[in-house]
Amino acid sequence: MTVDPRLAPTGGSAASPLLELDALSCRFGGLVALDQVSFAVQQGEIFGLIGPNGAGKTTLFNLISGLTPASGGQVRWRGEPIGGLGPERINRLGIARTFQNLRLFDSLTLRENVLVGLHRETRAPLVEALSGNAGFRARQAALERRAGELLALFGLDARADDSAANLSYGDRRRLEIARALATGPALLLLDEPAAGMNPAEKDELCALIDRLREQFQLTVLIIEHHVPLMMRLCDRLAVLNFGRRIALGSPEHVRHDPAVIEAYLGGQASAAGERR
Amino acid sequence: MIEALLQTLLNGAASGGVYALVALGYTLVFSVLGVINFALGALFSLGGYLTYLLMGGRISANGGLPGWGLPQGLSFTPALLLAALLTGLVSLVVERLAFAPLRRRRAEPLLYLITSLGAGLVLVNLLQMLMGAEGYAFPATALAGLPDALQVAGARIRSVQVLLLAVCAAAVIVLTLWLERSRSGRALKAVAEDATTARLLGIDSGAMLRLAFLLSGALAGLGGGLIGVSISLPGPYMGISYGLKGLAVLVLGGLGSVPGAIAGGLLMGLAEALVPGDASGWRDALAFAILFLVLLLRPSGLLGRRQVEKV
Repeated sequence: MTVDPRLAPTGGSAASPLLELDALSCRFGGLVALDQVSFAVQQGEIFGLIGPNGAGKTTLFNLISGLTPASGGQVRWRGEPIGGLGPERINRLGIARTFQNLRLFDSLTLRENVLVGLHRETRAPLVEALSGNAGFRARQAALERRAGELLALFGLDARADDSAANLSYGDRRRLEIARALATGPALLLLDEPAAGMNPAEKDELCALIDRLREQFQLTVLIIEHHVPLMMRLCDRLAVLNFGRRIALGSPEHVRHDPAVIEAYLGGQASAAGERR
Repeated sequence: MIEALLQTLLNGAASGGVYALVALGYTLVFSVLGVINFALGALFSLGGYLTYLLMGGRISANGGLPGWGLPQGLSFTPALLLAALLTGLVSLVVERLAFAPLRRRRAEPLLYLITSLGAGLVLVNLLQMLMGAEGYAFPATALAGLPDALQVAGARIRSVQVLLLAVCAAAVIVLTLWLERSRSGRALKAVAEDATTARLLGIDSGAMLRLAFLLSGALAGLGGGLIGVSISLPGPYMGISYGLKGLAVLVLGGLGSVPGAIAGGLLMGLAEALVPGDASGWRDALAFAILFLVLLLRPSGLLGRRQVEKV
């Protein structure tokens, strides 16, 4: 693919979205987890993914981040197909993620967790590291500072040398986001970041995600069950149900989409009816 | 009396240090891959023979190459370090041939046991083919410059044991500092705890695994060279008993625990040394009795972490 040199400095061609899913499918044996899902995420967007449990949202994250191979279709990053690349390669392209059921390194401190995220920036020639010369020490200090700054952003800097295992649930979520940010992503995949948080913490998280987008020029793809939060936070939303994309558009548009009301909100209403 | 006790304790600490090196070799691979590399004992032998060769030792190779040796031998320190490095590289070959194919096919962890045991047997038999089954003694000049005995607190103790203990301690300290302070050490710990998450953070888990094999082989090679120079090379199977003892130490200290491997090694070495000379046949019995006792009281080993349910 050739790119007009005049366009190159802006980073990728202006025509292609940052992330593009093209008829993405995933089957586990006979179970169809994702069925021909397509949508595109534009640079700078906060893009929401909602849908009932088992709709395939986390599977979609696993496909994008390279943990699960797709059974069909393609994922494109800045216009280039990235299907089949390993998770570490995809992270290096600029995609980082968090997990619904948190995966911190509990044997490491908060600072070390973030430093693992900064791994690629810490590359130092072996000789330098062994001799511990001034340049190496200065870079080490700069890294420690970077880790401290990232922790401070989430109000975790006071506990930098605590073990990650001792954190409260909400702080564990925040640390996982800080660690993902440390890898320097252009796209952040957040899998239910507000789960287990109280309403005040949820509001705070919302404001934080918005601020991170500004500060790091981030694009965010977010899964969250709390629909009012998503309506407020997201520029656009995609709705999944049984592995299929049933709606796509602005929060206002999605809210009034008959398919969404029927399959998602209607499904809940009838479930509530059954309980009665 | 004091002199004898001091010497006994030092002997125990020195062989305990070597056990710790082997146990750390197992620990490095175990913590990343969750399996035991049974080829480690063979790598221990290889380290001994390589140190001997690099120092200009003569071999006969079953009479095939009588009296052959390197024209110019190295002195002990560079020979030992180079032998450790070369053993580490052979360990990488073992990874490539006995581990990587299974990893690619996502094979049962139990199968690594068979392939690594096989790789170890091939290595030992190669040694036997190339070097012969006979024992070799390092030349008396191997440690030239080192006095026979040192005067410590009024007691004369054999200096070669001091050397052994010092080298083991240095290796353990460097390894621990590297794990705690360096970028790769941190990445290795991250891969050991959760390889998938480490990969999602951009860490090449395959490279970290190879690094673990390299270091693990180098530690075993170092142990082999030290035992070779302090005792002798009794034959290509010399490493097997150290490999087994290292395995016992690994379990004693707690699978996957670095401090556990060190403490377990020292405990095992000291316990063996305290068996009186005329009952030396009971050494292994005592060593494994301790292992049984510890496992009865603490099933996860001395410093092992309690098994945590993984989500």
